[in-house]
Amino acid sequence: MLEFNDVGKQYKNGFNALYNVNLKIKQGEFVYVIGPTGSGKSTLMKLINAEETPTSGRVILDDVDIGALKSRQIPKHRQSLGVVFQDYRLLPAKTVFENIYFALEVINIEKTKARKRVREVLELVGLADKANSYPSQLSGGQQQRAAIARAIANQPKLLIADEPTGNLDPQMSKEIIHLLGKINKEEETTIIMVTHDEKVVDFYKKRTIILEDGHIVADLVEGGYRSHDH
Amino acid sequence: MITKIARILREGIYGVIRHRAMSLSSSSAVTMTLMIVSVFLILSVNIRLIVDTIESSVQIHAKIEVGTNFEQIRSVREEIENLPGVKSVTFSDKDSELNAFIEAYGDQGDLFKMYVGDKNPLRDAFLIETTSGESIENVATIVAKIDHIEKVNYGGTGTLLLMDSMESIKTGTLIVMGALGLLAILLITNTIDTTINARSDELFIMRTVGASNGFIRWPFIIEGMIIGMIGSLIPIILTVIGYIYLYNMLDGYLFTRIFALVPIVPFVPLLAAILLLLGVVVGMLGSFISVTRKLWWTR
Repeated sequence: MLEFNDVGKQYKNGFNALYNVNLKIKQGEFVYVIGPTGSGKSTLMKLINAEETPTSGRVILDDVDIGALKSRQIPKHRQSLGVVFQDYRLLPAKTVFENIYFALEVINIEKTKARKRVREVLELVGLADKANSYPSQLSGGQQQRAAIARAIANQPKLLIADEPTGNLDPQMSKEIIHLLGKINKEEETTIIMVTHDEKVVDFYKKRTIILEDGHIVADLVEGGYRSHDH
Repeated sequence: MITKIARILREGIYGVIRHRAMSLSSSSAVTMTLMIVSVFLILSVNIRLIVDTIESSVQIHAKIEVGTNFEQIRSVREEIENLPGVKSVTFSDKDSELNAFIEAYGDQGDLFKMYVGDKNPLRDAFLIETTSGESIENVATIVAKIDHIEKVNYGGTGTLLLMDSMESIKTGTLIVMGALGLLAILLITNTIDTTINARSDELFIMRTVGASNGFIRWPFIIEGMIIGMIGSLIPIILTVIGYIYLYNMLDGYLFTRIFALVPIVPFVPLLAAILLLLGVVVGMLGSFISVTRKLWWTR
């Protein structure tokens, strides 16, 4: 469903983030992207999210060339994605319920359906009792679960998660990974997760792509961080 | 459509309520500015009224020679009416001249009542109003040369100087008004800009969820309008109460009977409406400008 064809990205300041990246991700996969800081992981995400455009090559999601999208087509593209960040990025002045509801309002879903869907995803992430809390009243793990609920509310084909466990302790991280695995199975959402948390990758083994200095240096279908020994 | 508008209104109102502190600081900027604008508007409108009163009260008094007959008076009148810069010409016979004289002396006017009738020593006269203060001198000089005019009087250079300064006051108030308006927009935009800056994270979060620019922008515009409206409340209340109090205390006049204040109706309701409109429009513009600027930043 997602393809990187010879993608290169050079930023305006001259920094070269990605070189000739070729990548294919199939519907329903769960993929880790790992690598040290500055290896191009975040750029990879930004190319999918249409925040950046590739300098060369093409990023294609379900036959749509993301880099060629016009500004006014981008909102529509983002509505078909779910995005989770390290710092949760919940709207501070909205309750958990409203944060998730907002994502559904954006795609103009009918009110009763939207409310039903919000309750559904809150149930799925285990936050049904926190619906009316504000983000500041929740723990980090709870905030991340709320953010995940928001990301999957509009049933995206693809969920991208940028260091979702970066701010969480190991126990919380495990819970989040379990949750993402559950979403991958139950909602059949394709998931790409950027991380540098080796423990997570070893504990829940999935296809792992390793980036270094803008190159893909390994693509391990069997998964696991320790098997990275080229 | 209706659900969309409902959402925008709801989000706008929530935005104000849930960012209480910021809303309050923004609307107090509106309050401060509108107070200044209000005071200045009251001053300038009243000054203009006084200036207009003074200007129109200055007229040329042209005495007509004794023995001039009606035909001649009519032709002189026509001649004066056709002069450039003349607004109106009123004929005042010697009886009305005397009445005006008696009135002008108020309580002591009775002394002159003995002259009423045949003993009246005054002359028939024309009272000439000019279109502006500047044309007084010109018109007076020309009228003085017309046949059957005995004497022309307009108060001399003192009046002319007064007229000059009146004109400067008028343009002065206009300039200050324009500058104040500009200052208001700048000040309020700046404040709203600061509050929206603090919330730029929110804009970006909304974007990652796939909200279009319009979807993000409208609630903020409503928020700005509400903030402007709230900010205009205190100036409106103070203006209404203040002006009515002042007007009643001074009995509608400043210093003397000549300088009437602008009557409460329709001035005060109009002023209130202007302040409200200013608050709302400026709040709206401020929000629109700063949100749009933020949204341009990234793809």
